[in-house]
Amino acid sequence: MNLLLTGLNHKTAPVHIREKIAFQPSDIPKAFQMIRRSTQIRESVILSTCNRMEIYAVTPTEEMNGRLSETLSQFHQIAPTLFLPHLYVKTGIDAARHLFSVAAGLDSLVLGENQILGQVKQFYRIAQEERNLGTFLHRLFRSAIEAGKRVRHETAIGKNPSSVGEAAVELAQHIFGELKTKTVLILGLGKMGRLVLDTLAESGISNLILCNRTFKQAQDMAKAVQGTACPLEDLDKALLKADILIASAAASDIVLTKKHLESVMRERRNAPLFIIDIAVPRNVEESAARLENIFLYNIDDLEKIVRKYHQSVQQEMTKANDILEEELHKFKVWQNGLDIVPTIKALTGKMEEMKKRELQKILSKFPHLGQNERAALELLAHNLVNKIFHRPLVELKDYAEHPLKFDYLEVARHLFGLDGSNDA
Amino acid sequence: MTPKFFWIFAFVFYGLSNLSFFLEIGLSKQNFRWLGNGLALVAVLSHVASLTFPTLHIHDALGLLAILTLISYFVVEWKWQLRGLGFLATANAFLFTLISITFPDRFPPINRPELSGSVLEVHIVLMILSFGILAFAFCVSVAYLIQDFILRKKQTLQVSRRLPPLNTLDLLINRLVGLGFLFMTIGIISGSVWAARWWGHWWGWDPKQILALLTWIFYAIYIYTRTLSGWKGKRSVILIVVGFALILITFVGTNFIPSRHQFQ
Repeated sequence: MNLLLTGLNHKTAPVHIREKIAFQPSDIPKAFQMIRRSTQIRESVILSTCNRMEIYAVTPTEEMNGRLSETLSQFHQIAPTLFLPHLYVKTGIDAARHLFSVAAGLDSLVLGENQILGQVKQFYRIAQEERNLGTFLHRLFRSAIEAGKRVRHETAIGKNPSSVGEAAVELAQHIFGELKTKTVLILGLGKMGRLVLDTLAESGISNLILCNRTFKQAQDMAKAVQGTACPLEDLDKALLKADILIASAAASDIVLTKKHLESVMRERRNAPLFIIDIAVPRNVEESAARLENIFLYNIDDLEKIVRKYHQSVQQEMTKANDILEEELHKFKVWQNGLDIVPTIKALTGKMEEMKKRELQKILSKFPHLGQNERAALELLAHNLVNKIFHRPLVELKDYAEHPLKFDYLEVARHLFGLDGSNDA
Repeated sequence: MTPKFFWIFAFVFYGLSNLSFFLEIGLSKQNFRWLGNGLALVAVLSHVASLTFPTLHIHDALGLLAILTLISYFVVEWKWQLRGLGFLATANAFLFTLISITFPDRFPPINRPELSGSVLEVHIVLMILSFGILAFAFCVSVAYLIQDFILRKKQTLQVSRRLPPLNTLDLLINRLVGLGFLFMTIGIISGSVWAARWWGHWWGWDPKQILALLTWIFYAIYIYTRTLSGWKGKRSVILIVVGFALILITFVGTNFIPSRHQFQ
């Protein structure tokens, strides 16, 4: 019985792969059925957001992974070769650690963001409603959610920007407040620009305009991120609609001069414009920063801000990881206890103790009893307890190889009060 | 308990709530914001108890100005929930109250028929209300200028986090000025109606009338440049700061030149 994780995320797969492999919450019951049919997996959770698709499963054998990817390819009707190179596989405690870190937001594009914890809860609930969960995954997800809550509660993670993109998002919030209704124009499709764009999109911006010298590229990219493409000749028109401009065009000369922007601002009726110039050499003339209602940050400005908070981000990361390890340890202790031998030991220990206590009570009430009578009473107690517990103990030993082992063990521990919670 | 006692009580509580808001900003702790709001509310209530209707006395007029500035703040705090504005609003109220101490606070009862009547009361309340709202708009403008300065300095995020976003501040200033301007307009008209009856003319070129008209024209220019010339942001905000100086001159300054509006 093993925990298996297979999936991909924003670090391993580009968006055009991620969107092909993503599940809508409404698809999930069908996906569970398919997984049950084509593999031996009875217990699984599918976690699917715009930045990741992960399947957590309890598998009887270790070689389930191949079957699972086949099912994925069938379900989404895409060739395995397309997504296999982007897939990661983790097992056992590594898979658990990964889930904890996802729930805590440490694996997110925007470090410590809050949305992911809600999404983990949502997909856990779907699996629960579809009765696709056993004791093991129940406990794993509950522990992960608890860990995620603790990290948000006890650390300042996500408070300070840890990347250039996050710094840009925070600055945009200080200028515009709510970003959902704002429009981003991205000039040039350099890697850095796209990274900042991804981070902005993560924070809720949905209006994207992509402008590129090669129009075809802008169109392809626009399709992938659900934005609109705009040819370079129409840059001025796009500038009238944008609130945020990410300039990352590979150009040897200044693309936007101060004078140019001055006339743009007049046409915009001075609506504030936040310019993030991450191109090297720069796209925007530096003196444009002096224009009213223009806020111009270049790559150095943003990196300076990130560096300033670097140490505190590191400290909070260490704190967060400590919390994750603590919760992981608790989970391991639970898992280890939930095995045949410890359960049997706990059960026999408990009945021995019960027997002794009851004997003591009765013997102290009748101090005048002789040796023989005492021995007879002890024998009675001993036999009674052994007879009652004989069958449960034999049954428990038989569950060692049973697919629902954890569930039976959990019931047994609960019935006999072995976890100390419902001690009589 | 005497009015003087209530006044001192109010003064101390303005100071305490200002201190609490200072801690809100300094330590970035929201609890101090609620504490500051509570203290400011106590201050306003006891300040109200210490005043008489400000017909003739600048002490009471300044007191009412402080109260209405804070009430503008409370409305915004309730509807918009913006961080960092309590400090500036209470600082303003504290200063108004401090200035009012330099003017006498005990006086014989007024016994002049023209100084009672609802038109005059409407005129006085609306003028002070509009000045209170515009004084608070000034506080918001100071927050805007700090936020703008810090964002252009590009050194830190700590200060920016303790103030509302620029766009929100800009929008709020615009709303406040619109409302203040409306009340000022009705206030000036109601003053004219009263003057027509008791002074015999609608407009008398009294120094305070002239200054109030200038102030009115100034805010009209603000509204004009914003709606028709597309001014926005810092330039508009600086107008509001200048406008507040004009209000102070109109309100307090005219007390030192001969005027039929002079307080006693």
